[in-house]
Amino acid sequence: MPADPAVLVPALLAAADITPSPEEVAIMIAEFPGRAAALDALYAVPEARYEEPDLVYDAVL
Amino acid sequence: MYMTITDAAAALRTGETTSVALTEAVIAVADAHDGELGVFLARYTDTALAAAAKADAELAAGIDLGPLHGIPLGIKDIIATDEGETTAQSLVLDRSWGDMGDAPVVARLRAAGAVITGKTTTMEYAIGTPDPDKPFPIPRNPWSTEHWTGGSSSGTGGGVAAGMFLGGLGTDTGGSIRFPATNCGITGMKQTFGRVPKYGCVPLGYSFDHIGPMARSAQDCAAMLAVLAGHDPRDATSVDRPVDDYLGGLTGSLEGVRIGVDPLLTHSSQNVPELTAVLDAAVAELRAAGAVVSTVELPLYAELKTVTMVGLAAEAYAYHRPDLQSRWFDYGAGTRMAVATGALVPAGDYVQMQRVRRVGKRKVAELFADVDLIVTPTSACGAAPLAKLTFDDIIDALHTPYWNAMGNPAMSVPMGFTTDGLPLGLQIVGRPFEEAAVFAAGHAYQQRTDWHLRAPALVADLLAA
Repeated sequence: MPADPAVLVPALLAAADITPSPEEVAIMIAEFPGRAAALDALYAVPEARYEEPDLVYDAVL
Repeated sequence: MYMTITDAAAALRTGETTSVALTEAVIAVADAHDGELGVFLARYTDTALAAAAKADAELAAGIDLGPLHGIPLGIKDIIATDEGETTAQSLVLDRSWGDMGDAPVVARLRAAGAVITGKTTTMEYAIGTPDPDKPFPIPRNPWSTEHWTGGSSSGTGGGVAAGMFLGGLGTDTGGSIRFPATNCGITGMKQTFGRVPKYGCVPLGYSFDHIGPMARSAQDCAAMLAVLAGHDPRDATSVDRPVDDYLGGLTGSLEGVRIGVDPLLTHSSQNVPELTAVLDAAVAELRAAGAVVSTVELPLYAELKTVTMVGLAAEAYAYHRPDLQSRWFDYGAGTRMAVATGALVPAGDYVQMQRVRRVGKRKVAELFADVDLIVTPTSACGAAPLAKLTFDDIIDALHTPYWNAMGNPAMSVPMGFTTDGLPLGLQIVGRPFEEAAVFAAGHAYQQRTDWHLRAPALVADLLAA
């Protein structure tokens, strides 16, 4: 079962040590499921299953 | 003096005007309307007039630095300049940040003889919405002061539209050049990622940020990009490759150019009824210029828009976390909420964004095998009323963020108006590093239309004087 945004969002904010107002936290909780669904959809892109990330690390400064 | 850079450059060389006269004219417009329109955070009147006088002397002596010589420009206030501090329109940014002096882009403009008139308004740190609770101007649209300019390059967009300078610098992480360009009826170019160095610019999303030109016409933007483009090792993402001739290909013809059109009507809930007719008329002009037009569908549209909007928040969060912890309420409400989204994104999801980005890059490249350019509306609607702004509605209407995930060059040109008299923009997109083709299409379109030359009624009388 997916985590409850009302629990998860305050926990993530606490872990990050940022303290929005209660009204702002309520907005973040309300917006969380939509964004989570959009992020889940990224895992449904079949061609991405074995794709490399577009991240480049260069050992030379 | 409502001139394009191109026309002003010609007038400077025929003796029809001088840089001092141009600069005094734009200063007069700013004196009259900046208080209402919220274009500037800082004005550099004395140094601008001195630079204009120097340009006039140089031109008189036969020293010609090119089409920007003696041209008044505005600089978005997240980019460092010699003249004064950089604020990012924020109470949070350490004012010593800009002590480095001119960012490479500003140094290049200055070396090309441009006249820096001041620093322009932005959304705080280039994200969010205007915040009346903070001590900064609210940018208002010259076409309707009850409406927003769009952002985050708000002041540069409004200032070009109002005639307070002839061009300027914006930055674009999810559309912040093209959004105010479409809303204000001007032209704005987000060139290929890495084409213009970002050193000396306050970051928002490291892998999505671009600094680019905003002006009246595609030709003006081409003249600016010719100066701005080029490698600088102080930006890790700056690309070291030759700069194309952007002005040489502006023939006015699109003979044989293959253009794919995606109206994107199913991807916004805010399409104005007139959007289809305005877009169709714009495409008809491209066809009349010689283009071969077909219909295309952008792959992974929703997914790549997510990648940009959530990815930039994650990247911005890394930069802002210490200040979000200690100075939450010093940030504007819209900015802190947008950036804090990054605290709610798992690291694995961020990596997945970069995998989808790579898939998208391949699919878009496949699409570009069949077409040379892609056009879409820049936005589903005209400028939003300031009284009804929400960040979610803004993102829902915009068709710009997709191209920040991809990195392709994308330019917005004016293509008409809503029935309410608000500008609408056409987005023209090319293959990576094929800015010249994008400029050529924009120029051909603007040779056949005059949307980019229309002046808002608010300033028309003053500009005609």
